[in-house]
Amino acid sequence: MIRLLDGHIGRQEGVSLLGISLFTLCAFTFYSAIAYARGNTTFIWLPASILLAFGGMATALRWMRRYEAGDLAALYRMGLGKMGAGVALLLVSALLFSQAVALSTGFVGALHSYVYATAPYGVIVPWVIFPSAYLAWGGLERIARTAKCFGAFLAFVLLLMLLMPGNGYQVYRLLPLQYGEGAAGLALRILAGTVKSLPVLIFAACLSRAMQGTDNVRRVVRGGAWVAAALILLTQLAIGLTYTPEQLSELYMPLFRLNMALLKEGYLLRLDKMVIFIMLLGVLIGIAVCLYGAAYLSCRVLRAENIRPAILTGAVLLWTLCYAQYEHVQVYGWMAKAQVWVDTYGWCFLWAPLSAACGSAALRRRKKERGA
Amino acid sequence: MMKKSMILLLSLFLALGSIGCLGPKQMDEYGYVLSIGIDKGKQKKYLFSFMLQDTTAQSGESMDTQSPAVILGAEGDTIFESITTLVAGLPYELSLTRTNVIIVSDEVARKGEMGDLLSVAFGALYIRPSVKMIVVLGKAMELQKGLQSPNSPNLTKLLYSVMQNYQQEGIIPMMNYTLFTEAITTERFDAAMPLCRMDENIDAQQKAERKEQAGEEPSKENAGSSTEGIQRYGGMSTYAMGAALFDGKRMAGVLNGEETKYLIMARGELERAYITYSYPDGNLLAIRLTQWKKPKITMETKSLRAHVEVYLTCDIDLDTSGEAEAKWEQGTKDVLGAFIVSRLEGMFTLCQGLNSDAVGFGREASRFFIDGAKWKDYNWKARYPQLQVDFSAVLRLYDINIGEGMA
Repeated sequence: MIRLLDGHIGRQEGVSLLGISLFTLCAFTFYSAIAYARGNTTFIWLPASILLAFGGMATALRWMRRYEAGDLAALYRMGLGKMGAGVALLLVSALLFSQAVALSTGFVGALHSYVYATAPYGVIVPWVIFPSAYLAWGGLERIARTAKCFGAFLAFVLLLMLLMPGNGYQVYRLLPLQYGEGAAGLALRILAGTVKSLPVLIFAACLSRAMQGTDNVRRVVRGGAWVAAALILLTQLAIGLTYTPEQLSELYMPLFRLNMALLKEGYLLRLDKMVIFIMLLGVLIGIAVCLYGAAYLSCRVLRAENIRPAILTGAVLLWTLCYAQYEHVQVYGWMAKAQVWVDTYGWCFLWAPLSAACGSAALRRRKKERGA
Repeated sequence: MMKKSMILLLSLFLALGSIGCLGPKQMDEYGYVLSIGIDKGKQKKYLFSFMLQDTTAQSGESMDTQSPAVILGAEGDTIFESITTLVAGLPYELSLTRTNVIIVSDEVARKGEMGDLLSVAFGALYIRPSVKMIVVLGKAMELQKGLQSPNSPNLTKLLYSVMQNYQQEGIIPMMNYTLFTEAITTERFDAAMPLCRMDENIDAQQKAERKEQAGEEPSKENAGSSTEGIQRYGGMSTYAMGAALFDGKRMAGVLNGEETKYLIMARGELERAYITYSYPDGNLLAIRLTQWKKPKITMETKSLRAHVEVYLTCDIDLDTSGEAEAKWEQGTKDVLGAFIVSRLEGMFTLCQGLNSDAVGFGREASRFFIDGAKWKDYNWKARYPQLQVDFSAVLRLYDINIGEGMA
């Protein structure tokens, strides 16, 4: 009996889990210097990338239903064979882990920059990794129920955070929209941006048993993707209305700097540090989802008997990488390059196996039907 | 097994809580900088001065806004060099995280070095990017000293006064570091910063008062300066009135308090202001103006023409002719409208003469460009001197019964 600790989760829990993890991954893991280098278009391509990933996943889910595959892993097996499916899912697992690293290192950097400026990074790292590992250790039910507890609250705080500096928003800052990138460049950004959302959606589509059926998975994926896309759209729009691309390319996590353009500051607006800690709750859930998801997929492929050693290994590796990134200059450079590479080319490793699996499953099915 | 591992995890987690106790620091081990002054130096490039809230003078007591202030300063080519020189002789660490305002002398601002000087310092020194920026005609250090009067010992007072003037009188603009960097990096508008000055007569008055209280014969000294040409009695020797206009990074000139009012009006930031109009027959009209709607700016980027329409509610507070309200539609409204338009035109002519797009017409022009490369090629700043602007004012009389304007 494989002990994957996936349990059973409901629709609201699933939507909260996906909404929070997709939002945090899209809001806190990219480099401003790259994202805003060619203009202020993040409010277009980030939500569009979530919706594109959702579109791809919705198609895969429809095919799963048509070919009576129990979950996405089964569709992969049907289309790519056991070996091919294993490789494809291990790639998703690796990308999920890379997103966990990006999210934890990114937020440790934010905590250091905006709150604990004089503390060493190494001291901050465990505060982010330990609670995430604790959530992941408890399994999917623990993560999903925590997500449901905080989901609405986090969305409310986020909206409040976006409303408060409303006086400083100026439409002219959104224009000029881009600097010589063109429609093709924007389309490529949308496609590349799916590396943030597609791994989580693929992981969710492999959870048919935990989500009590493919129909529920479809509803959860649809709900989570739309919630995350809407929140990301509002967030990036607020950021774009506050800063110009020239300023944004030099700002670290601009979401926490929205009140800096205001001329009239009040005490309420100086509580931005508190907002960082509230958002930290979402980030912890996001990291836990990625950590658990990576362990879950690798355990299913490798048929490991217990998921916990995998989670523990992932957590220790995550801690080591986070610590090394900030405490060793050479590792920092290497990891930053690796993250940029994943953000640029990671989508190929997700879309190619997914399309191949769907296409191949369709061909095999047709061949089988003809034979019969 | 599960319980054991959870207890182990929890105890490790709790142990982490003690990390913060390993290097604790007391409040008085830090010197919290409230303002930074930047002047031209004699030995080095700049003289940086820092106003600190003196926590050591009242250790053990709660620190409030009435805490005494200390001014420290050292020359340096960079702010880092200056801080290094300072901390060598300080029993505490300087913390710039609570800096409220940066005061720059006009001498430094006119050289156009502010942008480079500050962009280097901000990230490393953890200064909030919302920090307010002020230009002083004279020395920044002197201005900070002027804030140290026994009745108003700290900077909070000055900031409050600056904000009040901005909101209630419209005689100064507001500027923070974020908006300043936006102005210099995007070139879609130019910065207009609050202008501070020293009225030395106030110091002379205070000295004379102290002599009188001590039973000595008060000397009739007069330092010669005044508050924008008008004799003032009492208050702080420092005052904020007018705007320092920038052309990119370089300070290009100044507007007085009256002209600044119309700058703020054209930008749509005026909350309340008073204007006094003299009729040709000598009668006076004092009116409280509020902006009931943001100005409508229409622009043609090809012919370089713009039209600005301001919307104002007028509350007649003083009318020596006694007929202004009765004759509002018969002529007062038009006369007043023409007066406001002439002032707006005068303000714009001054700004354009200094090549300072302080009103922000560039923001409107940039809306016509989707591609940033085309906007850069358009080269707004080179075209700005040819811009022709028409102003118009839509006035409505304040109606006491409904609290709204009446057209």
